[in-house]
Amino acid sequence: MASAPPIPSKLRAYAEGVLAHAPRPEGPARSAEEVLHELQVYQIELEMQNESLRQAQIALEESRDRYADLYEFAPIGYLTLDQSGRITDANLTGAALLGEDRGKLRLLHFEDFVAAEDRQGWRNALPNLLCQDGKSSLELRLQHKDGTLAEVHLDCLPRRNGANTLRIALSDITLHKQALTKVQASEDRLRLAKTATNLGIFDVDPVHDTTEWDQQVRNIWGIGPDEPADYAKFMAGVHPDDRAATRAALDLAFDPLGTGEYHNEYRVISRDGSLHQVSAIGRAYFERGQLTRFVGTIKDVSREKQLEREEQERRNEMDLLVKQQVAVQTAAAIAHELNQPLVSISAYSEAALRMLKGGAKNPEKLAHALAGAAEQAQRAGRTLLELLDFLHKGEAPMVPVDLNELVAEALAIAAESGYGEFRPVLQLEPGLRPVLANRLQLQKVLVILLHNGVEAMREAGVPAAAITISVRTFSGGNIAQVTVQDSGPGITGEAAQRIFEPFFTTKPKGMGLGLAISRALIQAHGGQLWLDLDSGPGATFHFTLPFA
Amino acid sequence: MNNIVFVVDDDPAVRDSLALLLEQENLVVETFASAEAFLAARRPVRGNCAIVDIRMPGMDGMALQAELARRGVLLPLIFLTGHGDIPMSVRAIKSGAVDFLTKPITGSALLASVHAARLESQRLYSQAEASQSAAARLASLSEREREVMALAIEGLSNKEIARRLDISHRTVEVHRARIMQKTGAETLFDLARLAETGGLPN
Repeated sequence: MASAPPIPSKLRAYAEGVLAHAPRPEGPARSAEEVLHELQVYQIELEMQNESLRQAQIALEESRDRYADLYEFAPIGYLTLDQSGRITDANLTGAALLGEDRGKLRLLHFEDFVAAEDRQGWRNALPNLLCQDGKSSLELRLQHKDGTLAEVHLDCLPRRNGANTLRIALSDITLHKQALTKVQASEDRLRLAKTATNLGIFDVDPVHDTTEWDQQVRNIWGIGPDEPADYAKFMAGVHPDDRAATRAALDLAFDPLGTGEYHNEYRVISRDGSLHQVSAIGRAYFERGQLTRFVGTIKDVSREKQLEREEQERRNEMDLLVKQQVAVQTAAAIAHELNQPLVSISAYSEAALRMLKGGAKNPEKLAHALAGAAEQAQRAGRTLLELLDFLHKGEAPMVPVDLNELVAEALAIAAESGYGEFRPVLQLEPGLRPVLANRLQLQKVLVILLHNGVEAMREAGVPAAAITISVRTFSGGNIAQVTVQDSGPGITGEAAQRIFEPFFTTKPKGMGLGLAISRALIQAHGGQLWLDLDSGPGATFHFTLPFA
Repeated sequence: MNNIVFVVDDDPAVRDSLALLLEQENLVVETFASAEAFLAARRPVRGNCAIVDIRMPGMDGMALQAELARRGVLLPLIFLTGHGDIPMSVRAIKSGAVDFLTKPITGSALLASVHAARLESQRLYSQAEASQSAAARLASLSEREREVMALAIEGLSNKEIARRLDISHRTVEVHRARIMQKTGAETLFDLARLAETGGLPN
């Protein structure tokens, strides 16, 4: 409708005015009846038109209300600024974003809501925003009365009907920004971790048939940063001898019924020919039984492996050296043990020879010399057998051994071998289960500990003192522990550090092998032998043995 | 008394067999199970020697040698050593041991060593006696006479001695005559040897 409808009371005067100026219709005058009928028809038509107009107005009003609601309650803030940047209109969301009641907003300067740092930027931008054609966007920070900041995105559209105005759609992007920052920080951390651990990352999307390798992975394969990666290039780099195993590992990971886990160690021959040992860990993801993603890390462990190999070589060399030295020292030990009886045998026989040359005037002495020689020869034989028994590890069978009995045997042997001058204090555990062990070897270990204790006490001038031997069980009865504690001065300093080294000795006649071999024997039984530095005052040795 | 050979060894069979062997050579043998027992029991005399195991529990052979030296005991030692004791043996010889025999030992080598050790004992005692008498004779010299003697032994003439000590030539001659008389030396060479034996400090 171009102009507003006249109000009803003046409608008649208006209509008659229009009629008076209208040209008279030509032709014969019609009858009154005819005219009346005509008018009635017009009236009905007019009423119908009127009703239609009323309906149109209601629809229009509903539409207007709907748009008003959309405007007011939109999740985006709408502002209208005049050309000096004052707010002339705002929806509810816009007011909320500005942190002010809508009623108070009118004619306030928008820049007063802009954070101080961004205010000058806004002032500079406003004239451009007002005069340019079409939409433009910018981001800035708003500062609320309570001081909190909000990051907002502005879509601006200038209007030029009469006075210039600027319509602004305002959206809060604070959370979005925060999320972005978080993602950025997370990515930074990941990059740092990757660099620090030398980890390369691969990400395969079989659905879209894309493969992403990061720079670390590309470095290993010798592939340029922009060159597309694919399975064929991956396999081409894998050492031919490792391809079958790698395929098998991948098949296992890609099995939808499996765990999806991938772990593989293989060699890569880079395009430059260099060999890399790598360790790969990954995971395959499935959706409805279909592989959708395969992602993981690859680490170049060449250096670690090399160090490991060198370390192993060094260990082997050391082992060999120790073995050689043990062999030499064992021979020395045998020579030492045999020399004593040989000295006597030689002297007895030479004495006997001289007696015979002199006519053997004293047959008793001759007999004594010969008996002495025979006895010493037998002693040499016994010594040799003992040594062989001791050195032949593993030949004697493992039998159930009662540790309480073993202690008694060791005490008897110590006494027989001239080391019996101590007072044994026994703390045994009655009813102990037997351990499965080589009886002779365990005996030897205990005797060595007793000998060491006695020698330490002799050296320190505390003869006839006590040696405490205790047998206990630990770990819910799974482990037996035997402890030998002497009353000597104890072991400290360098001696304590080196006491188990082969050939280390503090004794004038010691070979320095007793404790080294004892420890090896106990370890061969699955136990441990150690020096207890916290128990004193004498030296305290413990060894453990697992029960069968 | 002076043909005693001491055997110090912790091995009873070694003690017994060595004693038996040495007795066949008309030597008297006394055995000890440890160095400590030996030191406590005996005071060796001229003609004695000892056969000592270099490795023993408690005081070992080397320690015994040092203790004897500390006590001023004159006793030649024959060490019995085992395999691998060479560095120790070298030290023993440097400290005045007569010999060291590596086990197992032969009777003839042992007896030869014992013989040498007993001669060494005689020599040690004679040397000690000479040294004692020389020391006694040197002790009778006056301070000035010692000074003159020291310079004379160095080979200085009377004139040089006189100038060095700032005394007259005549006085030096008198001192020299008295020195010869008191020490009983007949020549300057005798005097030099006496001074060395008696331990005159230069």
